[in-house]
Amino acid sequence: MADQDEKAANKSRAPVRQVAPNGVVLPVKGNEFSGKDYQKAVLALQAPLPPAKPTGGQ
Amino acid sequence: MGGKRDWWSRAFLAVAAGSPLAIERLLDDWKVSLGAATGVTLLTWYGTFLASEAPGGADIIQRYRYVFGNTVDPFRQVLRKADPTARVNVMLAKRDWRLTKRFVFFDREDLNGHPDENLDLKASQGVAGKALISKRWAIGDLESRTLYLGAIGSDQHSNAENHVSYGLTTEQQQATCGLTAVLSFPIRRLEQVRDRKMEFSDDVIGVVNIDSKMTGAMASYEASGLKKELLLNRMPTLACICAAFFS
Repeated sequence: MADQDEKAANKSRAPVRQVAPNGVVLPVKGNEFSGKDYQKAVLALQAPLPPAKPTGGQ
Repeated sequence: MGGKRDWWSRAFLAVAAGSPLAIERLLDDWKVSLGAATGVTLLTWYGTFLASEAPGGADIIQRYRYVFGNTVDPFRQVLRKADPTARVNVMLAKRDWRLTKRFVFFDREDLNGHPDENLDLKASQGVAGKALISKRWAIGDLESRTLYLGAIGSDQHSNAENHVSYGLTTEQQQATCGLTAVLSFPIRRLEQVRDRKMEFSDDVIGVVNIDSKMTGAMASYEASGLKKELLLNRMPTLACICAAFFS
């Protein structure tokens, strides 16, 4: 019972790892950032972007 | 034994007899020493502080090569294909010699040849200042004079303010008058925690800034999905890399 309580307490203390849709860990408090995350981030920046269509003035 | 006691008695009497002058001299010496020690300590602290606030340090070239050579420059090229008027800047909030927090542009390449190439911003000014203070992303739609603030991990704003003042001086307003939209994303400090793991903290050390001169920029970014892609993927990604190098 005590073990279960401890596990539950540890689980609640564990940081919630928020990840962006491209798989990169988000810069939110408590999120871990590792070397693998860094490599993923460098690669993720270079994918093409959707073109912004000029609206022709307002 | 008796000789020693005599010596102490004579010394005591000598000091007692000449006490006002002797004590004054002693105090003066003490004040000068204390003043000098305090001055040296303060100067050392200030020097160390300025060195720690400098944008980079001994490894600045390596930092520059990694952050801009490998990440920001390719990202700029990708972004320019989507919006030819878009610019990307990484701005770090540092205290200057007057202890005022200002944005230090880590790279001014995108500003070269533009009216704002010598722009000097306090950390409380502009859309970037709003992002730094609120610790959330900030979008300034400068055409409709609306400021949007939203949480990291969401592309929907949680606050919208009209007719916002960005605290710019007349010169700063003139230098930035061609801009139609500014997107600022906070860079949170990475801190080493247990087992050499790095975690993001609440402390914001700077912003990733994207601005555009395209007419109707925000409407167009929204319609094309560029705003969502920038806020959910690219700007957090760039903020992570910057945090890794500047924390």
